[in-house]
Amino acid sequence: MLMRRSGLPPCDQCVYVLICVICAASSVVEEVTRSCQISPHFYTTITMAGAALKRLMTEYKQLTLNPPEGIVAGPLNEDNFFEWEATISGPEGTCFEGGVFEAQILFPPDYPLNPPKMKFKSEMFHPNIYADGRVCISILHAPGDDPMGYESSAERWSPVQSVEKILLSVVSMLAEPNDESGANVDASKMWRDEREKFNQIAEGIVRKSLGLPPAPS
Amino acid sequence: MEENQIQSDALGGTDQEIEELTGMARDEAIIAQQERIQNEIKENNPLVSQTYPINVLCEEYLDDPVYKAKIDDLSMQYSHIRKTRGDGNCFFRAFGFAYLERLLTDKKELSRFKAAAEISKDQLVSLGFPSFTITDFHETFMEVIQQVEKQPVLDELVDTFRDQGISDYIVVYLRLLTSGQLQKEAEFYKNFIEGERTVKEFCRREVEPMARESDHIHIIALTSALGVGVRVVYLDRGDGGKVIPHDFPEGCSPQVILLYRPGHYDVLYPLKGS
Repeated sequence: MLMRRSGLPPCDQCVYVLICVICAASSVVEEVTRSCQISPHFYTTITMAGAALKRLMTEYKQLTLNPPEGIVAGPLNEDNFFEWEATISGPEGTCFEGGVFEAQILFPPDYPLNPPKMKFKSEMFHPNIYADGRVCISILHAPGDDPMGYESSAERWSPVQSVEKILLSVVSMLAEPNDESGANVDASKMWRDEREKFNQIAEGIVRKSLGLPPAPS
Repeated sequence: MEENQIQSDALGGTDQEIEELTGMARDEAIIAQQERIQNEIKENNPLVSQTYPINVLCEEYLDDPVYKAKIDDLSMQYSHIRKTRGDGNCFFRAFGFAYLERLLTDKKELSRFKAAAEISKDQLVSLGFPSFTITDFHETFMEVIQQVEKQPVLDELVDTFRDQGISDYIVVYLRLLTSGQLQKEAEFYKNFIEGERTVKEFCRREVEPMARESDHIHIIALTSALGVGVRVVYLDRGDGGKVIPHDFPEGCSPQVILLYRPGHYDVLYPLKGS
Protein backbone atom coordinates (compact mmCIF):
# COMPACT_ATOMS: atom_id res chain seq x y z
CA MET A 1 0.00 0.00 0.00
CA LEU A 2 1.11 3.56 0.56
CA MET A 3 3.57 2.94 3.34
CA ARG A 4 6.84 1.20 3.02
CA ARG A 5 7.79 -1.81 5.08
CA SER A 6 10.85 -1.88 7.31
CA GLY A 7 11.71 0.60 9.97
CA LEU A 8 10.94 3.73 7.97
CA PRO A 9 8.25 5.77 9.74
CA PRO A 10 5.20 6.61 7.67
CA CYS A 11 5.17 10.34 7.02
CA ASP A 12 2.26 12.56 8.00
CA GLN A 13 1.14 12.88 4.46
CA CYS A 14 1.01 9.13 3.83
CA VAL A 15 -1.10 8.59 6.90
CA TYR A 16 -3.35 11.46 5.92
CA VAL A 17 -3.82 10.11 2.40
CA LEU A 18 -4.49 6.66 3.77
CA ILE A 19 -7.07 8.00 6.20
CA CYS A 20 -8.78 9.83 3.33
CA VAL A 21 -8.83 6.63 1.32
CA ILE A 22 -10.42 4.81 4.20
CA CYS A 23 -12.95 7.56 4.85
CA ALA A 24 -13.91 7.50 1.20
CA ALA A 25 -14.09 3.73 1.36
CA SER A 26 -16.40 3.87 4.35
CA SER A 27 -18.86 6.10 2.51
CA VAL A 28 -18.78 3.63 -0.35
CA VAL A 29 -19.42 0.86 2.15
CA GLU A 30 -22.34 2.84 3.52
CA GLU A 31 -23.82 3.09 0.03
CA VAL A 32 -23.28 -0.59 -0.72
CA THR A 33 -24.70 -1.58 2.64
CA ARG A 34 -27.84 0.45 2.08
CA SER A 35 -28.45 -0.69 -1.44
CA CYS A 36 -27.77 -4.36 -0.71
CA GLN A 37 -29.63 -4.25 2.62
CA ILE A 38 -26.83 -5.86 4.54
CA SER A 39 -27.80 -6.23 8.19
CA PRO A 40 -27.19 -3.15 10.35
CA HIS A 41 -25.05 -5.29 12.65
CA PHE A 42 -22.67 -6.02 9.79
CA TYR A 43 -22.64 -2.33 8.92
CA THR A 44 -21.79 -1.42 12.51
CA THR A 45 -18.95 -3.93 12.44
CA ILE A 46 -17.56 -2.31 9.31
CA THR A 47 -17.75 1.23 10.69
CA MET A 48 -16.21 0.10 13.96
CA ALA A 49 -13.41 -1.59 12.06
CA GLY A 50 -12.89 1.75 10.27
CA ALA A 51 -12.50 3.48 13.64
CA ALA A 52 -10.14 0.71 14.79
CA LEU A 53 -8.04 1.05 11.66
CA LYS A 54 -7.69 4.81 12.11
CA ARG A 55 -6.56 4.31 15.68
CA LEU A 56 -4.13 1.50 14.80
CA MET A 57 -2.49 3.64 12.13
CA THR A 58 -2.05 6.46 14.65
CA GLU A 59 -0.52 4.07 17.14
CA TYR A 60 1.81 2.62 14.53
CA LYS A 61 2.98 6.10 13.65
CA GLN A 62 3.55 6.91 17.35
CA LEU A 63 5.52 3.72 17.85
CA THR A 64 7.75 4.26 14.83
CA LEU A 65 8.43 7.90 15.67
CA ASN A 66 9.03 7.28 19.38
CA PRO A 67 9.94 3.64 19.79
CA PRO A 68 10.23 2.53 23.42
CA GLU A 69 13.59 0.99 24.28
CA GLY A 70 13.91 -2.65 23.33
CA ILE A 71 10.61 -2.81 21.47
CA VAL A 72 9.80 -2.89 17.76
CA ALA A 73 6.22 -3.39 16.67
CA GLY A 74 4.07 -2.91 13.61
CA PRO A 75 1.70 -4.58 11.21
CA LEU A 76 3.02 -7.78 9.71
CA ASN A 77 1.68 -6.73 6.36
CA GLU A 78 0.33 -3.28 5.70
CA ASP A 79 -2.71 -4.66 3.93
CA ASN A 80 -3.85 -5.90 7.30
CA PHE A 81 -3.45 -3.53 10.23
CA PHE A 82 -5.21 -5.98 12.55
CA GLU A 83 -2.26 -8.34 12.83
CA TRP A 84 1.00 -7.02 14.20
CA GLU A 85 4.32 -8.55 15.04
CA ALA A 86 6.41 -7.34 17.93
CA THR A 87 10.02 -7.94 18.81
CA ILE A 88 10.85 -7.57 22.47
CA SER A 89 14.35 -7.58 23.94
CA GLY A 90 14.72 -9.40 27.24
CA PRO A 91 15.07 -6.71 29.92
CA GLU A 92 18.58 -6.02 31.22
CA GLY A 93 19.54 -7.43 34.56
CA THR A 94 16.97 -10.25 34.35
CA CYS A 95 17.27 -13.90 33.39
CA PHE A 96 15.84 -13.01 29.97
CA GLU A 97 18.56 -10.43 29.23
CA GLY A 98 20.00 -10.73 25.74
CA GLY A 99 17.03 -12.61 24.31
CA VAL A 100 15.09 -11.30 21.34
CA PHE A 101 11.54 -12.58 21.46
CA GLU A 102 8.94 -12.45 18.74
CA ALA A 103 5.24 -12.12 19.40
CA GLN A 104 2.03 -11.76 17.44
CA ILE A 105 -0.64 -9.22 18.37
CA LEU A 106 -4.17 -9.70 17.00
CA PHE A 107 -6.63 -6.81 17.22
CA PRO A 108 -10.43 -7.22 17.37
CA PRO A 109 -12.58 -5.20 14.90
CA ASP A 110 -13.83 -3.05 17.80
CA TYR A 111 -10.34 -2.13 19.05
CA PRO A 112 -9.73 -0.09 21.24
CA LEU A 113 -13.03 -0.85 23.00
CA ASN A 114 -11.67 -4.35 23.46
CA PRO A 115 -8.03 -5.34 23.91
CA PRO A 116 -5.90 -7.25 21.43
CA LYS A 117 -4.64 -10.76 22.07
CA MET A 118 -0.94 -11.35 22.31
CA LYS A 119 0.98 -14.56 21.76
CA PHE A 120 4.71 -15.25 21.79
CA LYS A 121 6.00 -17.08 18.76
CA SER A 122 9.40 -17.61 20.31
CA GLU A 123 9.52 -20.43 22.82
CA MET A 124 8.94 -19.02 26.32
CA PHE A 125 8.95 -20.36 29.85
CA HIS A 126 7.35 -17.86 32.19
CA PRO A 127 4.68 -17.89 34.94
CA ASN A 128 2.41 -15.52 33.01
CA ILE A 129 2.73 -17.06 29.56
CA TYR A 130 0.70 -20.13 28.61
CA ALA A 131 2.53 -23.10 27.11
CA ASP A 132 1.19 -22.10 23.67
CA GLY A 133 2.65 -18.59 23.98
CA ARG A 134 -0.48 -16.64 24.97
CA VAL A 135 0.29 -13.77 27.31
CA CYS A 136 -1.79 -13.52 30.48
CA ILE A 137 -1.53 -10.10 32.09
CA SER A 138 -4.25 -7.89 33.50
CA ILE A 139 -3.96 -5.12 30.89
CA LEU A 140 -4.88 -7.61 28.15
CA HIS A 141 -8.13 -8.61 29.82
CA ALA A 142 -11.42 -7.46 28.42
CA PRO A 143 -13.58 -5.32 30.68
CA GLY A 144 -15.86 -7.00 33.15
CA ASP A 145 -14.97 -8.97 36.20
CA ASP A 146 -11.80 -10.93 35.95
CA PRO A 147 -11.47 -14.17 37.78
CA MET A 148 -7.69 -14.17 37.53
CA GLY A 149 -7.16 -12.86 41.03
CA TYR A 150 -5.19 -9.80 40.03
CA GLU A 151 -4.66 -7.20 42.71
CA SER A 152 -7.38 -4.57 42.86
CA SER A 153 -4.87 -1.98 41.68
CA ALA A 154 -3.71 -4.00 38.64
CA GLU A 155 -4.21 -2.16 35.38
CA ARG A 156 -6.87 -3.52 33.12
CA TRP A 157 -7.68 -2.77 29.53
CA SER A 158 -9.41 0.50 28.75
CA PRO A 159 -9.74 2.40 25.47
CA VAL A 160 -7.05 4.86 26.56
CA GLN A 161 -4.47 2.11 26.89
CA SER A 162 -2.38 1.41 23.81
CA VAL A 163 -0.12 -1.10 22.12
CA GLU A 164 2.84 0.72 23.63
CA LYS A 165 1.40 0.38 27.14
CA ILE A 166 0.81 -3.33 26.57
CA LEU A 167 4.34 -3.92 25.34
CA LEU A 168 5.81 -2.00 28.27
CA SER A 169 3.69 -4.12 30.63
CA VAL A 170 4.98 -7.25 28.92
CA VAL A 171 8.57 -6.08 29.41
CA SER A 172 7.94 -5.54 33.11
CA MET A 173 6.17 -8.89 33.27
CA LEU A 174 9.33 -10.52 31.87
CA ALA A 175 11.38 -8.72 34.52
CA GLU A 176 8.98 -9.39 37.38
CA PRO A 177 6.74 -12.43 36.94
CA ASN A 178 3.53 -12.47 38.94
CA ASP A 179 3.36 -15.95 40.41
CA GLU A 180 -0.08 -15.26 41.94
CA SER A 181 -1.88 -15.56 38.61
CA GLY A 182 -0.04 -18.40 36.98
CA ALA A 183 -0.75 -19.23 33.36
CA ASN A 184 2.08 -21.75 33.41
CA VAL A 185 1.86 -23.56 36.75
CA ASP A 186 5.18 -25.35 36.34
CA ALA A 187 6.96 -22.11 35.59
CA SER A 188 5.25 -20.43 38.57
CA LYS A 189 6.34 -23.17 40.96
CA MET A 190 9.87 -23.20 39.64
CA TRP A 191 10.13 -19.41 39.80
CA ARG A 192 9.06 -19.56 43.45
CA ASP A 193 10.93 -22.62 44.67
CA GLU A 194 13.82 -23.35 42.32
CA ARG A 195 15.05 -20.05 41.01
CA GLU A 196 18.40 -21.49 39.88
CA LYS A 197 16.71 -24.05 37.70
CA PHE A 198 14.32 -21.42 36.32
CA ASN A 199 17.26 -19.19 35.39
CA GLN A 200 18.91 -22.08 33.55
CA ILE A 201 15.81 -22.74 31.48
CA ALA A 202 15.53 -19.01 30.79
CA GLU A 203 19.12 -18.97 29.57
CA GLY A 204 18.32 -21.82 27.19
CA ILE A 205 15.33 -19.85 25.90
CA VAL A 206 17.43 -16.73 25.40
CA ARG A 207 19.99 -18.73 23.37
CA LYS A 208 17.23 -20.32 21.33
CA SER A 209 15.71 -16.91 20.55
CA LEU A 210 19.06 -15.87 19.12
CA GLY A 211 19.40 -19.06 17.11
CA LEU A 212 22.31 -20.27 19.25
CA PRO A 213 22.83 -23.89 20.24
CA PRO A 214 22.19 -24.82 23.90
CA ALA A 215 24.98 -23.80 26.27
CA PRO A 216 27.56 -26.55 26.82
CA SER A 217 26.94 -28.07 30.25
CA MET B 1 -28.44 -24.36 25.97
CA GLU B 2 -27.59 -27.81 27.26
CA GLU B 3 -23.94 -27.20 26.73
CA ASN B 4 -24.23 -23.95 28.68
CA GLN B 5 -25.86 -25.83 31.50
CA ILE B 6 -23.08 -28.38 31.65
CA GLN B 7 -20.52 -25.63 31.63
CA SER B 8 -22.28 -23.61 34.33
CA ASP B 9 -22.61 -26.66 36.54
CA ALA B 10 -19.01 -27.51 35.95
CA LEU B 11 -17.86 -24.16 37.33
CA GLY B 12 -18.80 -25.30 40.81
CA GLY B 13 -16.44 -28.29 40.56
CA THR B 14 -12.75 -28.73 41.16
CA ASP B 15 -10.22 -27.43 38.64
CA GLN B 16 -9.83 -30.95 37.31
CA GLU B 17 -13.57 -31.51 36.90
CA ILE B 18 -13.87 -28.20 35.09
CA GLU B 19 -11.11 -29.09 32.71
CA GLU B 20 -12.63 -32.52 32.01
CA LEU B 21 -16.10 -31.13 31.31
CA THR B 22 -15.23 -27.99 29.39
CA GLY B 23 -11.75 -28.63 28.08
CA MET B 24 -10.77 -25.29 29.59
CA ALA B 25 -8.95 -24.15 32.71
CA ARG B 26 -11.18 -22.66 35.43
CA ASP B 27 -10.35 -19.03 34.64
CA GLU B 28 -10.96 -19.54 30.95
CA ALA B 29 -14.23 -21.36 31.63
CA ILE B 30 -15.44 -18.50 33.85
CA ILE B 31 -14.57 -15.92 31.20
CA ALA B 32 -16.32 -18.01 28.54
CA GLN B 33 -19.43 -18.21 30.72
CA GLN B 34 -19.42 -14.44 31.29
CA GLU B 35 -19.21 -13.92 27.54
CA ARG B 36 -22.23 -16.18 26.99
CA ILE B 37 -24.24 -14.24 29.56
CA GLN B 38 -23.23 -10.94 27.95
CA ASN B 39 -24.27 -12.23 24.52
CA GLU B 40 -27.63 -13.27 25.87
CA ILE B 41 -28.19 -9.80 27.34
CA LYS B 42 -27.12 -8.30 24.01
CA GLU B 43 -29.61 -10.33 21.99
CA ASN B 44 -32.55 -9.52 24.24
CA ASN B 45 -32.05 -5.81 24.98
CA PRO B 46 -31.31 -2.84 22.72
CA LEU B 47 -28.71 -0.38 24.04
CA VAL B 48 -31.58 2.05 24.66
CA SER B 49 -35.21 0.98 24.36
CA GLN B 50 -38.34 2.81 23.30
CA THR B 51 -40.31 4.40 26.14
CA TYR B 52 -42.70 2.25 28.17
CA PRO B 53 -45.39 3.25 30.68
CA ILE B 54 -44.10 2.94 34.24
CA ASN B 55 -46.33 -0.01 35.08
CA VAL B 56 -44.34 -2.19 32.64
CA LEU B 57 -42.02 -2.56 35.65
CA CYS B 58 -44.72 -4.57 37.46
CA GLU B 59 -44.12 -7.44 35.04
CA GLU B 60 -40.65 -7.85 36.48
CA TYR B 61 -41.87 -8.06 40.07
CA LEU B 62 -45.07 -10.09 39.85
CA ASP B 63 -45.16 -11.53 43.36
CA ASP B 64 -43.28 -8.82 45.09
CA PRO B 65 -45.42 -6.52 47.28
CA VAL B 66 -42.46 -4.30 48.29
CA TYR B 67 -41.61 -3.44 44.70
CA LYS B 68 -45.26 -3.24 43.66
CA ALA B 69 -46.02 -0.60 46.27
CA LYS B 70 -42.98 1.38 45.25
CA ILE B 71 -43.82 1.16 41.54
CA ASP B 72 -47.27 2.57 42.41
CA ASP B 73 -45.54 5.41 44.22
CA LEU B 74 -43.21 5.93 41.25
CA SER B 75 -46.16 6.20 38.88
CA MET B 76 -47.56 9.13 40.92
CA GLN B 77 -44.74 11.31 39.57
CA TYR B 78 -43.38 9.57 36.50
CA SER B 79 -45.17 8.44 33.38
CA HIS B 80 -42.57 6.58 31.35
CA ILE B 81 -39.32 4.69 31.48
CA ARG B 82 -36.70 4.12 28.79
CA LYS B 83 -34.64 1.03 29.50
CA THR B 84 -30.94 0.65 28.84
CA ARG B 85 -28.96 -2.52 28.33
CA GLY B 86 -27.44 -3.96 31.50
CA ASP B 87 -23.90 -4.08 30.22
CA GLY B 88 -22.10 -2.22 33.00
CA ASN B 89 -22.26 1.03 31.01
CA CYS B 90 -25.91 1.75 31.76
CA PHE B 91 -25.35 4.83 33.93
CA PHE B 92 -23.26 6.57 31.30
CA ARG B 93 -25.53 5.52 28.45
CA ALA B 94 -28.73 6.47 30.28
CA PHE B 95 -27.26 9.79 31.38
CA GLY B 96 -25.86 10.58 27.92
CA PHE B 97 -29.11 9.81 26.17
CA ALA B 98 -31.38 11.61 28.64
CA TYR B 99 -29.21 14.74 28.65
CA LEU B 100 -28.89 14.95 24.87
CA GLU B 101 -32.64 14.36 24.56
CA ARG B 102 -33.15 17.34 26.80
CA LEU B 103 -30.74 19.41 24.73
CA LEU B 104 -32.96 18.83 21.69
CA THR B 105 -35.33 21.38 23.20
CA ASP B 106 -32.95 23.61 25.17
CA LYS B 107 -30.83 25.67 22.80
CA LYS B 108 -29.24 27.82 25.48
CA GLU B 109 -28.04 24.85 27.48
CA LEU B 110 -26.90 23.17 24.25
CA SER B 111 -24.61 26.05 23.32
CA ARG B 112 -23.17 26.19 26.85
CA PHE B 113 -22.55 22.47 26.76
CA LYS B 114 -21.06 22.48 23.28
CA ALA B 115 -18.51 25.12 24.25
CA ALA B 116 -17.57 23.16 27.39
CA ALA B 117 -17.31 19.89 25.46
CA GLU B 118 -15.14 21.55 22.80
CA ILE B 119 -12.40 22.50 25.26
CA SER B 120 -12.73 19.36 27.38
CA LYS B 121 -10.24 17.41 25.28
CA ASP B 122 -7.44 19.88 25.94
CA GLN B 123 -8.25 19.72 29.63
CA LEU B 124 -7.92 15.93 29.55
CA VAL B 125 -4.62 16.20 27.69
CA SER B 126 -3.33 18.61 30.33
CA LEU B 127 -4.25 16.01 32.96
CA GLY B 128 -1.93 13.56 31.22
CA PHE B 129 -4.19 11.61 28.84
CA PRO B 130 -2.24 10.92 25.63
CA SER B 131 -3.91 12.96 22.92
CA PHE B 132 -3.83 10.19 20.32
CA THR B 133 -5.82 7.83 22.55
CA ILE B 134 -8.65 10.28 23.26
CA THR B 135 -9.04 12.16 19.95
CA ASP B 136 -11.37 9.67 18.28
CA PHE B 137 -13.72 9.59 21.26
CA HIS B 138 -13.82 13.37 21.50
CA GLU B 139 -14.51 13.66 17.76
CA THR B 140 -17.44 11.25 17.94
CA PHE B 141 -18.77 13.05 21.00
CA MET B 142 -18.66 16.40 19.18
CA GLU B 143 -20.28 14.88 16.10
CA VAL B 144 -23.21 13.71 18.19
CA ILE B 145 -23.57 17.17 19.73
CA GLN B 146 -23.59 18.59 16.20
CA GLN B 147 -26.29 16.09 15.32
CA VAL B 148 -28.36 17.38 18.27
CA GLU B 149 -27.82 20.97 17.06
CA LYS B 150 -29.62 20.08 13.85
CA GLN B 151 -32.65 19.23 15.99
CA PRO B 152 -33.35 15.81 14.55
CA VAL B 153 -36.47 13.86 15.46
CA LEU B 154 -36.07 11.87 18.64
CA ASP B 155 -35.88 8.57 16.76
CA GLU B 156 -32.65 9.68 15.12
CA LEU B 157 -31.06 10.18 18.52
CA VAL B 158 -32.35 6.76 19.53
CA ASP B 159 -30.73 5.27 16.40
CA THR B 160 -27.45 6.99 17.23
CA PHE B 161 -27.49 5.49 20.70
CA ARG B 162 -28.35 2.07 19.31
CA ASP B 163 -25.36 2.10 16.97
CA GLN B 164 -22.91 0.16 19.10
CA GLY B 165 -19.87 1.93 17.66
CA ILE B 166 -21.08 5.50 18.21
CA SER B 167 -22.89 4.69 21.45
CA ASP B 168 -19.84 3.06 23.02
CA TYR B 169 -17.60 5.94 21.92
CA ILE B 170 -19.95 8.34 23.74
CA VAL B 171 -19.76 6.13 26.83
CA VAL B 172 -15.97 6.08 26.61
CA TYR B 173 -15.81 9.86 26.44
CA LEU B 174 -18.17 10.28 29.40
CA ARG B 175 -15.96 7.86 31.32
CA LEU B 176 -12.90 9.92 30.42
CA LEU B 177 -14.58 13.14 31.57
CA THR B 178 -15.46 11.40 34.84
CA SER B 179 -11.91 10.17 35.27
CA GLY B 180 -10.54 13.62 34.44
CA GLN B 181 -12.73 15.26 37.08
CA LEU B 182 -11.74 12.69 39.73
CA GLN B 183 -8.06 13.28 39.00
CA LYS B 184 -8.41 17.05 38.87
CA GLU B 185 -10.04 17.06 42.30
CA ALA B 186 -8.07 14.09 43.60
CA GLU B 187 -7.53 15.72 47.01
CA PHE B 188 -11.28 15.73 47.57
CA TYR B 189 -12.21 12.41 45.99
CA LYS B 190 -9.43 10.35 47.59
CA ASN B 191 -11.48 10.36 50.82
CA PHE B 192 -14.22 8.37 49.12
CA ILE B 193 -12.10 5.62 47.63
CA GLU B 194 -12.05 2.35 49.49
CA GLY B 195 -8.92 0.35 50.05
CA GLU B 196 -5.34 1.36 49.46
CA ARG B 197 -5.86 2.76 46.01
CA THR B 198 -4.87 6.15 44.69
CA VAL B 199 -7.42 8.16 42.72
CA LYS B 200 -5.44 7.43 39.57
CA GLU B 201 -5.45 3.68 40.22
CA PHE B 202 -9.17 3.83 40.91
CA CYS B 203 -9.77 5.64 37.61
CA ARG B 204 -7.66 3.20 35.60
CA ARG B 205 -9.45 0.27 37.15
CA GLU B 206 -13.05 1.35 37.83
CA VAL B 207 -13.77 4.35 35.61
CA GLU B 208 -11.89 4.21 32.30
CA PRO B 209 -12.49 0.54 31.40
CA MET B 210 -15.80 -0.19 29.70
CA ALA B 211 -18.39 -2.27 31.55
CA ARG B 212 -17.24 -1.27 35.03
CA GLU B 213 -20.35 -0.28 36.93
CA SER B 214 -20.90 3.21 38.29
CA ASP B 215 -21.16 4.19 41.91
CA HIS B 216 -22.01 7.49 43.63
CA ILE B 217 -18.48 8.72 43.11
CA HIS B 218 -18.79 8.35 39.33
CA ILE B 219 -22.10 10.23 39.32
CA ILE B 220 -20.82 13.05 41.50
CA ALA B 221 -17.70 13.47 39.37
CA LEU B 222 -19.52 13.42 36.02
CA THR B 223 -22.25 15.82 37.12
CA SER B 224 -19.70 18.30 38.43
CA ALA B 225 -17.48 17.90 35.35
CA LEU B 226 -20.39 18.80 33.08
CA GLY B 227 -22.32 21.11 35.37
CA VAL B 228 -25.44 19.03 34.84
CA GLY B 229 -27.78 18.14 37.70
CA VAL B 230 -29.10 14.59 37.91
CA ARG B 231 -31.90 13.09 39.99
CA VAL B 232 -31.57 9.40 40.75
CA VAL B 233 -34.77 7.77 41.99
CA TYR B 234 -34.07 4.65 44.07
CA LEU B 235 -36.33 1.65 43.64
CA ASP B 236 -35.06 -1.04 45.98
CA ARG B 237 -36.05 -3.28 48.85
CA GLY B 238 -35.65 -0.57 51.51
CA ASP B 239 -38.45 0.18 54.02
CA GLY B 240 -41.07 2.89 53.68
CA GLY B 241 -43.04 1.87 50.60
CA LYS B 242 -41.88 4.92 48.66
CA VAL B 243 -39.20 5.51 46.06
CA ILE B 244 -36.48 7.87 47.24
CA PRO B 245 -34.96 10.58 45.05
CA HIS B 246 -31.36 11.78 45.43
CA ASP B 247 -30.12 14.82 43.57
CA PHE B 248 -26.54 15.17 42.39
CA PRO B 249 -25.30 17.72 43.30
CA GLU B 250 -27.59 18.19 46.28
CA GLY B 251 -30.05 21.04 45.88
CA CYS B 252 -29.70 21.24 42.07
CA SER B 253 -32.62 21.48 39.70
CA PRO B 254 -32.11 18.20 37.86
CA GLN B 255 -31.89 18.13 34.08
CA VAL B 256 -31.74 14.35 33.89
CA ILE B 257 -33.83 11.85 35.85
CA LEU B 258 -32.71 8.26 36.20
CA LEU B 259 -34.27 5.26 37.87
CA TYR B 260 -31.89 3.17 39.95
CA ARG B 261 -32.56 -0.43 40.76
CA PRO B 262 -29.70 -2.29 42.46
CA GLY B 263 -27.02 -2.60 39.79
CA HIS B 264 -28.89 -0.80 37.02
CA TYR B 265 -29.92 2.63 35.69
CA ASP B 266 -32.75 3.50 33.28
CA VAL B 267 -34.17 6.85 32.11
CA LEU B 268 -37.33 8.24 33.76
CA TYR B 269 -39.83 10.71 32.32
CA PRO B 270 -41.97 12.84 34.67
CA LEU B 271 -45.75 13.05 34.37
CA LYS B 272 -46.71 16.00 32.20
CA GLY B 273 -47.36 19.02 34.35
CA SER B 274 -45.48 17.71 37.38
